[in-house]
Amino acid sequence: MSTSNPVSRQRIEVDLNFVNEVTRRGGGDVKKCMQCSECSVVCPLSPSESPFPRKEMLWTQWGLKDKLMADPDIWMCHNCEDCSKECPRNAKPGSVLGALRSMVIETYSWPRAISRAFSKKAFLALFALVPVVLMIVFFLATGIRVPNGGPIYFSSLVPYNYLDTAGIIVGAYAILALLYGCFRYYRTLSKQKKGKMNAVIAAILTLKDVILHTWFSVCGSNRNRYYAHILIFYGFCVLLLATFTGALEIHVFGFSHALLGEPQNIIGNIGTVLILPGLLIAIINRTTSKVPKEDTYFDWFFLILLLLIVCTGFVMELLRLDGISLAYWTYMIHLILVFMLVAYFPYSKFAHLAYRFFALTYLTSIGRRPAV
Amino acid sequence: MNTDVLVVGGGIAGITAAVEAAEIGYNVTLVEKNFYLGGRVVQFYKYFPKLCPPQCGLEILLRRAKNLRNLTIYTGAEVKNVSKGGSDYTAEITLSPRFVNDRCTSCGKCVEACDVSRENDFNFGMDTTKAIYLPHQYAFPNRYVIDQRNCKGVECSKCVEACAYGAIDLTEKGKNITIDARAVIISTGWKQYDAEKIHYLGFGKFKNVVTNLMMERIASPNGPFSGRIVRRSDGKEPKSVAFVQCAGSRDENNLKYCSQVCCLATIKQANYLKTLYPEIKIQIFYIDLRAYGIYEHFLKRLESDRSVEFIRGKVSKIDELGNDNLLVQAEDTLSGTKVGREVEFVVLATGMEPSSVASGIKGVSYDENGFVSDDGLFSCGVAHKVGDVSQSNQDAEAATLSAIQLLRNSGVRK
Repeated sequence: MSTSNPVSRQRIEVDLNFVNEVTRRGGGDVKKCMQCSECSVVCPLSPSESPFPRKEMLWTQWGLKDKLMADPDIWMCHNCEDCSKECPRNAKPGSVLGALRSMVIETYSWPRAISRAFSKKAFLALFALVPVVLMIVFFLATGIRVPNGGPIYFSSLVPYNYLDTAGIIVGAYAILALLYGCFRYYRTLSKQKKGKMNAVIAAILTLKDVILHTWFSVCGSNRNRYYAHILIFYGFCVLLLATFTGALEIHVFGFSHALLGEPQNIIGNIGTVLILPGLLIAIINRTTSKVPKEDTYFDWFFLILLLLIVCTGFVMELLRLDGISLAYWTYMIHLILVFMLVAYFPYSKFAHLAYRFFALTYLTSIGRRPAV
Repeated sequence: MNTDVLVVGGGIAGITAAVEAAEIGYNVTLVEKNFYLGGRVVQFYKYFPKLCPPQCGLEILLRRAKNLRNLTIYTGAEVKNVSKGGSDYTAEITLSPRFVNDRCTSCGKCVEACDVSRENDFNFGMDTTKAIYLPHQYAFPNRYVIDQRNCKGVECSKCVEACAYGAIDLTEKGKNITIDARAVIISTGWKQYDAEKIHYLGFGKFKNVVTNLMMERIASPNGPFSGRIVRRSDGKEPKSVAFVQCAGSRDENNLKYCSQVCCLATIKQANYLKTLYPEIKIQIFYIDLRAYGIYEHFLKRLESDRSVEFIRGKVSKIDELGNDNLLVQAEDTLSGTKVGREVEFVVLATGMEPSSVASGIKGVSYDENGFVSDDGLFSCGVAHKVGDVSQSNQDAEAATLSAIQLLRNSGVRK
C-alpha cells in the first residue's frame, strides 16, 4: 500500500470542546463516521482534488477547529443531502457541514458576544424583547397612540422620518457588522493560498453564479430545495426593492403616505407571491424529508421569521383595505419582526448570504469550482 | 418419526454436526432444502488460505456420512416449522418431489432427450441446464433432478422413455412429514447479499459487474465457462479487474454488519487470478482490510505483489463505458484525491446474509440481522454467526457437543 503524498509535519491544535459544539448544532452523528468517503464521491459539487466532506468529517472528529474555520469548502455544499442519504453509517455529513457553516458565522461575526449569545436558543426571548422595548420607549417618548377609526395610514402610527431614521441606523449597523465579519473571514481564507484571479473579477463571477444559482443547479437531487431557494431568494430581493421604492416615493416623489396600487405596493405583492410558496416548499421539504437530517434552531429561526414577516405583511395589507384598526397592531408586530431580521442579520442564517458569497469568491479566485 | 438429533441444513456445518453426532452413536436426521449436500462450499472454486478445491474437505465428510447407518438424510426437504412439546421438538417438513428415484445411475440419457431448458441457479443464472439436470458435477446424492417449474410433465415424458432404468416418475407428489427430535441444530447457512440493492454499483445493470460468489463459479472448472475468467458481455478475458470491498456491508442502508470473510475471499480471488493470468492488473478498493488471526500473512503476501494495487476508499459509483468497460469511482483517502479507474471487470465483495432473512423457519427466533438467537435450539455455521469454513466447522462441533450434553442430561446415552 502506498500514500502518494508525503507526510508533512505540523503542529495540530485540538479543541476538545469543538465536537460538543458541532453536536449542539445538529452534527453529533459525525462520531459515527468511518472515513469510507462515500460522501465525497456521491457529491456532485465535490472537486477531485481534496474533495469534501470526508476530510471535514475527520477534522471535526479530531477537533481541528482552526482548520475548519478557515475551510472554504463547507460553502461549496448546497445541502442536497445526497451524502447523508448514502452514508453507510448514517453520520449525516450534510448536517455536519451545516453545523460548521453556522459556526463560521458565529466565529467571525462582530461583536462576538452577541453572535455567541444569538446562537443559543435560550437567548431568543431576550433578542425578541429588544425591539419590543424599543417600540414601547418610542411610543412613550413621542406620545403617539394607536389611531381609532378613519382610513388607515401606517405613517400616522410611525411617521416616516422616524421609521426611516431607525431603518438607516439598524441597517447600517447590520451591514457594517456583517461586512466586518466577512472581511475577517475572507482574510483568513486568503492567507492560505494565493488567488490566481483578481478578487474583484472573482466577485463578479460569483455574483453571476448567485444570480443564476449555478452551484445550486449542479445538485441533481432534491430539486424542491432548489426551487424553494430560488423563490425565497428572488422574493426576498423583490421585497427589499419594494422597501426602497417606498422610501423613494415618500422622500423623492413626495407622496404623503403609501397607498394601494402604487409601485411599492405592487412590487411588494409580487415579492410575496414569490417568497410565500418558496417558504412553504422549504418548510414542507424539511418536515416531510425522509433523508436523515438534523433540523436546527439556526435553520428554523430563519424560515419561521421570514414566514412571519411575510404573513404579517400580507395580513396588515388586507386589514388596511377593510379599514380595521387591528392593522396597526399587526403593523407593530411586523416592525418588530423586521427589526429582528435586519438587526440580527449578521448572526443568523441570513448571514449565509454574505459568508457564502465571500467563500465562493475566494474559491473562484483560486480556481476551485465544481465541474459544471 | 423419532430421532435424537435433527440437523436443519446440509451445508458444511450441518454435515459436520450430523456426522459428529451420528459417529458417537445417536440417531441423526439431516434435512437439506437443495437436492444435494454441501451448500455454499460446493459452489466455491477454492477455499482460502490453502487454495484447495472444496472437494478436499467435503469428500471426507461425505464418505463418513455414507458409512453411518444411524444417519438419515433428506434432500429437497424444507423445514417449515419447529415447535417444542415437553422435552421434544417437532419439526414439520415439506418434501419436494425429485421425480428421479435411486435407480438413477447418472448416465445422462435423460438430458439428451429433454428439450426444455432452465436457468442454472447453481451458477447464478450464468448458464442453463435442461429441465432434468444434475445439480452439479459432484452432487451428493449423485442423482438427476427435474425442475417442476420448467418440466412439461407427463404429456412430454421424453426423459421417461429415454431412461433405461425406470428411474423417472413424473407423477411423484410432494409430501409433508413430521419428525420428533430430542435436540435440534439449525445450520441453514447464508446467501449472498442482494447486490442489486446497492443501486450505485450497477450490479444487474452492467454485465461485467459480478459478485464474489459468481466469481467462484466463473473460476471453477465445472462452472459456466469451464474455468476461464471471461466477461459476460463479450466473452473476452479481462486484463484488469477491480475488487469492491464492503459492497453493501457495514452499511446502515444495506447489510449492517461486517461479514468478516469477504476481505479474505478477495485476497484469495486476487491470488488465483494472478496464478491463472500473471499479467492481469488488479485493484482492490477497501475501507478497512480484515485479515484476522493467522490470515495476516495471506494479505501480506498479496501486498508484496507490486502489480496489485490497494486503494483505500469506498467505491461509491460505477459507470459503464462504451466498450463495456467500467469506471470505478472512489476517493483515495490516503492522498485525498478522487479516482476513477477504468477496468474491464468488477467483482463486488458482497457479504453474507443468513438464509432466514429470505425464508425463516416458524418457531425459531432470529435476531435483527436474521441470525438464530433461540436459546433452546442450537445453531452453527452462518445461521449462527458469520465466519469462514473452518470457523463454521468448529462451530458445528461445538453445537453437536451442546446437543449431546442435552441428550445425556435427559438420559439418552449411547
